[in-house]
Amino acid sequence: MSVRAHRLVSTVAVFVLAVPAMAEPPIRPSSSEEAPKAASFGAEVLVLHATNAGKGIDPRIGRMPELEKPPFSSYDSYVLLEKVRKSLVRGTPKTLELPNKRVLRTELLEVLPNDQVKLSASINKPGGKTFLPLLEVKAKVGQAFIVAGQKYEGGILVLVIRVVK
Amino acid sequence: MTEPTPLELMQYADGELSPEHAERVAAFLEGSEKPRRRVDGIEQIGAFVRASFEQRLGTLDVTADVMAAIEGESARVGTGDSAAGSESPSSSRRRALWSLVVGGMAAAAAASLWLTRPTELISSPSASRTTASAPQPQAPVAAADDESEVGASVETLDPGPSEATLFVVQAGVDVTPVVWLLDEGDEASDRMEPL
Repeated sequence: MSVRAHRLVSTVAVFVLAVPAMAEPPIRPSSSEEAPKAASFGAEVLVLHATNAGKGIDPRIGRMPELEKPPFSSYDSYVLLEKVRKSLVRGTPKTLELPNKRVLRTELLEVLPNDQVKLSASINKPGGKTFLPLLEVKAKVGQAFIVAGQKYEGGILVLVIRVVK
Repeated sequence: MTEPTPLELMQYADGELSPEHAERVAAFLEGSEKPRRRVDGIEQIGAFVRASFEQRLGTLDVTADVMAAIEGESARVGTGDSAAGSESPSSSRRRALWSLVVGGMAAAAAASLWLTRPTELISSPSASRTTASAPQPQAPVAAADDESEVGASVETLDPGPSEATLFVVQAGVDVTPVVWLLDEGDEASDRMEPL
């Protein structure tokens, strides 16, 4: 190996070793983006009943363009059955009985910087049998995720879970 | 044949089974209502995802972008940018050296990213199971507009005994993850109804 080639290999080796070290700096949020207090977060749960009853979208649902996109658009009626807000406290799961008697359970797992949280959701059947054992989601305040598909009275339930503050 | 597993049914619906295996599954389905309904449901969701993906692809104009890039390169060469043509051997070697160094940095960065990935994303059997059973719904994410806001993200999904499909719905700049459960109801009597 020539001297030039040797230097070249050495240079590349230095970068190969150095870059991973640079890529993983100690994760310490600055004072301006300290993780906010967990108690200030909540989960707003909208329980919607989707059917093809020809009634349109319940105005109480508010702006939800997702309902006009497939596969949600395959139902022409959305009725707001329930709208509840559960505070998110780490280590304290909150439950909500759904219209089909199953139970939605939400829990704050982690508060992340920049108004983000990691939360878990699960759904249990009456009697304690698990229907959806675990769903972990990372979301920012105002962002939502949807759990849909449970059969209910000629249609399905659509659960819209949004992180709020 | 024993009852096909949910994974076998998905592979059957996607045409991923060997001809012999598919024949065995098809023979089973002929005499069994419940698994056949399940296959119907899988095919419906697959059709929806494919249609959605194709619709998005239709809005991308890759050809125009490539032609614009080629025309830009041609114009640069045509206006007398002769540096490439008269490049000395030493500058060529320097360029090769820098290419190698930059390549090494890129490889190191990639290795770093791989090694520092959240373990739950690669170690969770539930997450990998979901990814294996429903890879297609991820496609619209890759094809989403650049202006799309990164929405909430599903980190782990364990559908348990039921089946679930994970996909996103894009409405304007909002991207919302959706977990669609294939609920057969507690009485397991009706067919799936999303489409």
